[in-house]
Amino acid sequence: MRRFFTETYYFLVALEPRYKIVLFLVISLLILAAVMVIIVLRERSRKNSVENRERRISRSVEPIIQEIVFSEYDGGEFKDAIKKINRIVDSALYRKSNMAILNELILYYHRNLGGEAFNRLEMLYREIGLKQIALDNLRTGEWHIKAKAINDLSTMRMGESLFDILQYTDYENQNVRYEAQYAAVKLGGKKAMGFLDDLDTPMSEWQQIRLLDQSLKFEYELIDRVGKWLKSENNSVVVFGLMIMRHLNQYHEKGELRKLLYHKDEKVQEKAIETARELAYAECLENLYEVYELTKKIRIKKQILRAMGDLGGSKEVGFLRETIAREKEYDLVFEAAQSLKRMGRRDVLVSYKEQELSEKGESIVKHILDDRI
Amino acid sequence: MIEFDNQNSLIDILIYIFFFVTYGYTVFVMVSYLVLGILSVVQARKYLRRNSYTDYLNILQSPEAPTVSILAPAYNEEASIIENVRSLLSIRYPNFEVIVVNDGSRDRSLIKLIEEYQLEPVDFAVNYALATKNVKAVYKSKNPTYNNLVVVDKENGGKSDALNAAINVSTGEYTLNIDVDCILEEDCLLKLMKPFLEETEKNMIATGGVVRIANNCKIEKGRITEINVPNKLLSQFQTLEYLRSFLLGRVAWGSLDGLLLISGALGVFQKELVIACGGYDDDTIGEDMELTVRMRRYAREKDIDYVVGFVPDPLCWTEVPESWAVLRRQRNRWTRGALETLLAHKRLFLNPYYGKIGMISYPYWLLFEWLAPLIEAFGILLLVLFSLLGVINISFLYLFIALIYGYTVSFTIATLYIEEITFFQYKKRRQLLRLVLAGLLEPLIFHPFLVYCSVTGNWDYFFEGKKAWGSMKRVGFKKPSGGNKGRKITASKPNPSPKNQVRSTPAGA
Amino acid sequence: MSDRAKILIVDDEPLIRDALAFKLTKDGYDVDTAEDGEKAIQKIESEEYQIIISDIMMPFISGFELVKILKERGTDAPVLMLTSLNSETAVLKAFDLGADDFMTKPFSPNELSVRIKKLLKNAKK
Repeated sequence: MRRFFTETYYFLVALEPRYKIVLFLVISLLILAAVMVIIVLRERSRKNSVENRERRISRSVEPIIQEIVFSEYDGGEFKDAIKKINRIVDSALYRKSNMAILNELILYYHRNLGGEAFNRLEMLYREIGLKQIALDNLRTGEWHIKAKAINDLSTMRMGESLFDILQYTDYENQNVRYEAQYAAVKLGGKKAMGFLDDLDTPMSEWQQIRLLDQSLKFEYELIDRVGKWLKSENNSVVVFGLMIMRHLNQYHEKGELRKLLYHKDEKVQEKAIETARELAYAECLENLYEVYELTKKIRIKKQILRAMGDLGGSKEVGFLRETIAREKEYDLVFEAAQSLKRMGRRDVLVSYKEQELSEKGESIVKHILDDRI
Repeated sequence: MIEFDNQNSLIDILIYIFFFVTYGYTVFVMVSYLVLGILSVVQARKYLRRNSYTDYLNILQSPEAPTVSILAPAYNEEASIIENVRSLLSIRYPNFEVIVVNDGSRDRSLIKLIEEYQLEPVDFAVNYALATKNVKAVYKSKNPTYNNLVVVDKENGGKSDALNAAINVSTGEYTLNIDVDCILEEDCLLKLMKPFLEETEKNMIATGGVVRIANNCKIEKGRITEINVPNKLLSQFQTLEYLRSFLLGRVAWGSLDGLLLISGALGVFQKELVIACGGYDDDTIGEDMELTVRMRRYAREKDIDYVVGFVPDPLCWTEVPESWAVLRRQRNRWTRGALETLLAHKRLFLNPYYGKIGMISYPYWLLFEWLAPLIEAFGILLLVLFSLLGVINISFLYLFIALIYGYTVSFTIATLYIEEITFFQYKKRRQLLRLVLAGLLEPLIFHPFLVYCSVTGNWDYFFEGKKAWGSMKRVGFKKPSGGNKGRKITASKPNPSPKNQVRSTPAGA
Repeated sequence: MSDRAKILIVDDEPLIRDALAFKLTKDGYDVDTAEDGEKAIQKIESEEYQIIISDIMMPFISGFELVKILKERGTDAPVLMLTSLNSETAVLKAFDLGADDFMTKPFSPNELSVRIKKLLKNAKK
């Protein structure tokens, strides 16, 4: 045995350097591969144990939470319940991860339950110390920890942390910023939307949709800030302002809306026309004719034809009919025909069909008249 | 690098250069994979962190979500069409339509659809914005539950033609283009649309997603209910290959905005731009790659500041061939498809006008995806020749091959590790070990096979003038409860192509 | 036992299913659960329920489809849809397909109790 090793050793020493290097690399790669397999397997065991712990904690905490949420607990019983939960999650090694599991559990219930149950869960969240953990994470965590903390606080409706969160609405990391903006609207309502007045970072469409989803709750309230947003240099704020106008029925600021019909950014312009249509702003029809002549963009023209269908009268019927007869662009003919149908002027379409003016127009009119599509 | 004869003859110098180039090339390939791998890990981690608290509900209930048309071309799919359409209709998204194109099937696909979904023909005015074969009829359902289903019956014209017809009929702002026999995750559309909605500076023209292998997975009613590693060794090899290709290769290319291929199995496209650049090309084999490249070119040439996105989540599951012969035909076709696209767009090569795709992606494809197997095959031939002639000392070479083997295996296992800490799909310990085992065998069995397919693909393309589709046989999905257990034969059916893959063994041994 | 009303809860998320079951059992009902539309249909075939509470977004058979199937079969039991989808179209579609009541998550468990009482009362008439 020993001879074998010495022989191998001398063999290796005698090798040319390049052999040595490559041999060394091969052996270290194979060792690396073996080590990685072991790491993967250990990672797997770790995951399994976390999963088991998660299951165990949920199973034992769940009934306690159910009791808290659905029973008439007095102060004493509530404290006992919290003690019980604390005992379950307590552990020298795993407390942090146990709290995270508990956190998800409570958030989950909170997302689904409302009313009295809702308030109890909030109380639980505070009392058990999860709120404090979220606040600490917000102050000291990496960006994704910060963002998650803000998200948790807003999901749990921790209104008192609004002030802490507001500082992050123009934070340098986009994800943190977005979460803070969302939380601001969720916790602070329309008053907290002031951050939009001088926001100069762009908001993604995703973010706009999220903020809109939150804002839909103020449906019948007057949001006087909209005017400022429509005048913003930040196109994403303008578009958001228009969305608010449309979905929250903000009829004021029509003058500003009229100006936006001529906006140079296609997205803003399109949204403005759509908003004018949705708010039944018929006074702007003259402007729409003008824009229709000015623009070359099919999308804008389509929006205008659609708006005419909702806002127009007999003059627009004529214009739409003309469009079907003369226009070569399929999409525009289609839109015009659809508008006529929405105006209830099937008669115009039917008579058009009978006159057989153009084959293309005719098939489109037939399509539009088919109610099954 | 080799043992020289006493005289420095010309042949020795040539051999020297040959080895210098191949060794250098190999090391270069290895390093580039390492770089791609690291980039992917960084990207996937960022993605997972960002999405750890994402709530898709906001968008799911939003009136402002952009409209999407799901385009599903079908040819002779009667065995599974009903189920596939049902699972498409149950995708989670606020406003979408499903457009199924029956591309002149010779089986009962259409009749089955009509019966199941209570369809009737309507007066649809098809706008042939993209030229296609004649559309015979457009069907809609009498049942309001299915009011977002449109079925197009047209003359047979191939997959590209069917997709173009679907685009013509669609009303959405975006299209989700899929293979009808792929199994999609319920929230795949939400996840694929997110990058479009998140982009604030550039114009996102398309996003792709990760395709995984469905063989041996449990499937119920068009949904994956249990993820398994395939049973057959050949499919296990492909599992590793797809993992490397999607998890490492494409995620990295996605983060560099250098993707040249959005797989035909799963991709969302901005419709306006697809139409503007002419839609799918009927004459090409690799229509998915060709379209991606053409869209990028078009956007650049029209001065659109664009970007192509990629979602690292596994979103789509597909069956891969379980027989060597079928796989050979598939790979042969992919080789020809990629080759055709590369040749058709050779303008891009090292052209700084096209930015990253001209300077990095295209040369990478040319050098590593196309040339690598050829160089490898050529190298092996020469080696055999040299050693027969006794010109070289091959002991160092053996060692070098061992190095390549070690590297490949380590890389594969690193991929498994990354999968483990990111998406963690293969949950059974024994199955994982089987993948490790397959990883040890792969460079010895599967890789030479791929080289062979690629070489014959090149041969067929250049010398046989073959461009038509090879046929593809697939084993039907396993259903736990009764139903269709037979073999499903899909003729002339293109496949999702994970072409932008990281090769298993660097070439040039 | 027989005078206690039987309720079937259909939801794919176990936590909510359990929480609802807990609450409604506490309210004095006989509670049964199913994790998806298909299992719900099997249960409804073999047993009679006075009320069915169903989620909308479930795998295989969605809540919408479930309502449709139930109403087509002429099941008498009123169906209350419970969903996190807060959109007008979802509400309209649910009622259009024959749902008897609709609540959005987050929902108040107490409100749910009241609505169930009301639905039961109407059903008896």
